[in-house]
Amino acid sequence: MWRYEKRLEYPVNIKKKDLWMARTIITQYGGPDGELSAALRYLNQRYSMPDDNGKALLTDIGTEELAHLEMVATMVYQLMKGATIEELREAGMDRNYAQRGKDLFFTDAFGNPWTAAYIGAVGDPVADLSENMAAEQKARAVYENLIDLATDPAVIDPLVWLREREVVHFEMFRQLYDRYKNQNLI
Amino acid sequence: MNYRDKNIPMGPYTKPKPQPTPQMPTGTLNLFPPDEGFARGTIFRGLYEPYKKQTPLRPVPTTERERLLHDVNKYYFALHELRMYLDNFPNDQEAINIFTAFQRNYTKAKNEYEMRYEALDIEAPNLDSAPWNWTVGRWPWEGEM
Repeated sequence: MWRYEKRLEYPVNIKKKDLWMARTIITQYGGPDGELSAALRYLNQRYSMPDDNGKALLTDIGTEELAHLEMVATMVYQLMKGATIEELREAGMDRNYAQRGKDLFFTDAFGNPWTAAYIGAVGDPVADLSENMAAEQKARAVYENLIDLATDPAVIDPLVWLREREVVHFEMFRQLYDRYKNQNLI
Repeated sequence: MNYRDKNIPMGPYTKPKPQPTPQMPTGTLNLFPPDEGFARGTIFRGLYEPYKKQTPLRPVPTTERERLLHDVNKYYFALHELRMYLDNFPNDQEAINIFTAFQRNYTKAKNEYEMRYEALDIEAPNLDSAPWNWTVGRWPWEGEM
């Protein structure tokens, strides 16, 4: 069961249209290290965590990733808002427009559609938690690349915030991983 | 990286020493105040790792509506952070005390916001008369906090 609160986890207020930036940020929506991958990865792995604390942590982090997915969607949506056909064509988004109009879609920055192959699940908590730690580091690195590319402070601020969340989640997963190792639970 | 001061021993399941009344916002957990933690993206001082020279823009609410929503955001965020921490360290009574205090702040801010402005979820007290309040106000992705 999930509930929705009608607010973003952290505010996003982008006023300047920037289709090129939208094309890069989309990878955190539907790319390999994006928020959809993260949410589904953790929410799917939680069933086989060896104790209730692990089940809780994967549920809570997976749930937060859904809020991040909404923030990333908001960024892309606001960056594309009001774009004309000519602007879309100039930014190389005419193919997107032909297929999907102005709808968002789960792709990486190259346009490859999201695939469940981005998600690991091998039924072994050491392997699964190691993957999650790597996933958080990869997402942190991607957010840093995006921050490097961004010029508008209204875009940079939520990216910096989301990057810090990856740092926190990595540490939460690491604590759980260490405890499982120490307690020989796995 | 540590959540706590280095001089306080801790293990995942060691029973914490009895603590005096929690000193919000910074007890032995070494937390940022909720405002600052929300702006930085973590309430745990030990986990804050800025990228290059990026400093967080502090969201500055300009209207009463924004101020109340900012309170809802920051207290929920602090609760969520503590919840994850407590998943790993469930015997930390000090963290639970801070959690309980933030719960009260969150509920108060959320109720006040919903009474005066828009419904945030299905529990909202202002979903009792026409026009249906769930459809009132901007959706979150439209901007303006």
